[in-house]
Amino acid sequence: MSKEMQEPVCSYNQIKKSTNVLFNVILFLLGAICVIPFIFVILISFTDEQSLVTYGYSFIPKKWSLDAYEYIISGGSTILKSYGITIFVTVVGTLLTLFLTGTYAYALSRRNYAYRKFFTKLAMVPMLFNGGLVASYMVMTQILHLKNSIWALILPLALGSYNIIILRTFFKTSVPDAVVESAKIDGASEWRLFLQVVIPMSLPGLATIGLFATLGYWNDWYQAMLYIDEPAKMPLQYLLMRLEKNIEFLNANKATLGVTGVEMANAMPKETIKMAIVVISTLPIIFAYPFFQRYFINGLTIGAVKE
Amino acid sequence: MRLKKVMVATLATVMGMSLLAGCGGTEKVETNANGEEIVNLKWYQIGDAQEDMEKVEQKINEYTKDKIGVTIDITQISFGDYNSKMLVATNTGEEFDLVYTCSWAHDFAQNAQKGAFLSLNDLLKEEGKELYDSIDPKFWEAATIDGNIYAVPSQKEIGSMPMWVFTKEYVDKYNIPYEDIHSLEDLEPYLKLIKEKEPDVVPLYLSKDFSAPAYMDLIQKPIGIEYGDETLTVKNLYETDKMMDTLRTMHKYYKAGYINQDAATVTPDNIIKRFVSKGDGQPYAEKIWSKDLGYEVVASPIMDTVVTNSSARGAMTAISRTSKHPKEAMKFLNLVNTDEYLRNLLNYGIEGEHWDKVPVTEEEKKEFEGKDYIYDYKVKLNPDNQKKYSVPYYVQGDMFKTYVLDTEPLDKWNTFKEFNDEAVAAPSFGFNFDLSSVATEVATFQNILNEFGSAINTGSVDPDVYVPKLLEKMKAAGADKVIKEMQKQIDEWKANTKAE
Repeated sequence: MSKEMQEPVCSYNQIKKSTNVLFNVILFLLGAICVIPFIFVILISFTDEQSLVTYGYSFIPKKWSLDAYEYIISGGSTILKSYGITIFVTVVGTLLTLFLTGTYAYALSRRNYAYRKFFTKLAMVPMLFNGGLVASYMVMTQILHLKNSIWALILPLALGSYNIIILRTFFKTSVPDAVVESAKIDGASEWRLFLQVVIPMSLPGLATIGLFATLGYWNDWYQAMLYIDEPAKMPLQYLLMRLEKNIEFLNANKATLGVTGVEMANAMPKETIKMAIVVISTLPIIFAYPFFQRYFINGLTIGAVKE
Repeated sequence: MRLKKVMVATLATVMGMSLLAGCGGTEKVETNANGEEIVNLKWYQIGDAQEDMEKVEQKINEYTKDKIGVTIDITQISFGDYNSKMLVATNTGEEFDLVYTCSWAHDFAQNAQKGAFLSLNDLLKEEGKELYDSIDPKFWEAATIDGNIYAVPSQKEIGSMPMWVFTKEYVDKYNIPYEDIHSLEDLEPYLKLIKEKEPDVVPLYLSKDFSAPAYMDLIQKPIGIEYGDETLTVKNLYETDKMMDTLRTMHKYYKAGYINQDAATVTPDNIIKRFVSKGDGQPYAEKIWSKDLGYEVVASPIMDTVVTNSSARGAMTAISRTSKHPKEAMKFLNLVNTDEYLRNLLNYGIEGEHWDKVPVTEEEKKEFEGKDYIYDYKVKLNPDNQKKYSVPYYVQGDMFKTYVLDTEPLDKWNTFKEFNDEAVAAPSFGFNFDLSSVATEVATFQNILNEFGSAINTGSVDPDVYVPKLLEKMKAAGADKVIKEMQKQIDEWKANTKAE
């Protein structure tokens, strides 16, 4: 603080101390609202199931236990397998998204590309209209035969118009034509130009798309709901979602189901296991943020004109 | 130019990949020992996918391949997703053969009327005679719409029996003659007793999905026909005197503190100590409730069991309109529901792995001589492996054709049969409401019920104030039109059935 005070330029930008404190308190409270539920979830996942039944939820568990995590790691559950699926889909999916979006958007960003207008329009159409669920389901299952294939989790999300437009704008504004021209004069082929000149200059833009894709793949359960029936290929988020939906269904149909419903409820995973799944499914993605962070700040200038 | 070449190459690879994927799906023509061509059937079932399903399928196929020239491919879809997934599969005309349907998931009446299922009348005569004769005609009646049978029902309890479920501890402690308690009014003195003597115990524990005992077939909730009303007059449940009396009593109990104060908003919580709650039961339901709650309960029926469309359509299997092998599908269904080995294999998994056969002693068998559905074996589940194959039994087929568990009485299914025989059909049983002309009106009813239902049903609010409000909203949503339409359809139905 004192160091900054010595520089007059800084104090010019400074806010009043009391305001500063107030802002800090407000932001701290906002932060706490976001973080506390998650800490609570972590604590529940480490609670003994029996004490949860007897005493209900509490911030400091009456009895600690690792049972939930033991259950997840033990062979008796498919959770670890699903975890592997989620990680595979996210990594492969993100790389594929970057490759497809990057090449498509780069081509569109080049002024001398002959079919630029056509392919721009082609990308724009699905932003405005889309074929709907039935059409895409039919293409996936009856033409591509991707039902119960892991590609059904990757391909539908791999290329998005929105990402293409963002990245095209980024290429256009942050890669000056002059650079492209000079590389060509030096004898670079199109691939070399793209891989060694354009990509290093566009890391912030690619990182942003990469983050979008990572989050998109990691959190996706909808494709799995539509296309995956085999338990060995279900991603983690779908397991969670399915549990949630089963509980909702049970409650909604309690009267009609009668005793059957009671039996179903008995077969469902316990509360602590649910929370443990939430924990293991959230932690890695928390670490993805710092990884993308350094690009992300630069990435915020996407679309800004620099020339 | 080079970029173009690369693009072409990439495109070619992608297309090649999809072709390869396509090849994987083609079927090879296989024949069994009798030289018959083997047909593979696809069966959609409700229930969470099981780890050992493939193993069990293999066993099934070994058996059915030679017996009827059919192999089966079962796909299980979890309860919460079943409706949406089957809707997509049906609407896209996906090819499959067998599909689970009932009144509470992948709605039978709607899909049958829409033409999603094949009519089974002829198939049953040709390939399913044995099956047809082995199932109670009441179930077949429920599976019939406009003279066509659209699904094969699984025999189980035909109606649900609303019951009061008492915690045995307090019944014993205060010598409560629970077997004589039936109506809501019968409960009062004992609720009072518990309220005074056991301050920690909720006398009557309810949750937000509680429905007050309704003596009515709610064809389109909350509109329907009262039980025993042979004139078939369509009414709104909340306009009947009987319901109003019930609700007033509920409110009285609520004010007296007999009912938990948060009843209208909570989901059921097993931790709460209670004296009595309501359950929808069947024979031996007490056992299941006791296991769920972790202590013993006893139960007493609130009213006689009534058979309605919705209760008799609790579990069925239909043949899809898109099936290319309806004949084989019916052969398979026939075998599943009549073959002891296959039925138990589907139900419990592989003998010696998921369960063990326990022979029934001669004495025990003698005890139940002359009763129906008595088998030579009971089932002892293998607790470790059973987790890998634990399917909803009623989805697989006729429950009465399965062995009972070693913890259950040998005449379990006979008791179920007697229960079904005693159940009385509601006057409206067999009537199917075609709601297409009033679909918009009906769609809003659920929202109105969500708004008021819980509070009114649990007695949390005064019915004389809130029921008129609910009715007013329903009127505005077009309740009268729905009642009129239903009345018109049911009058036609009555005239037609009488004429037959």
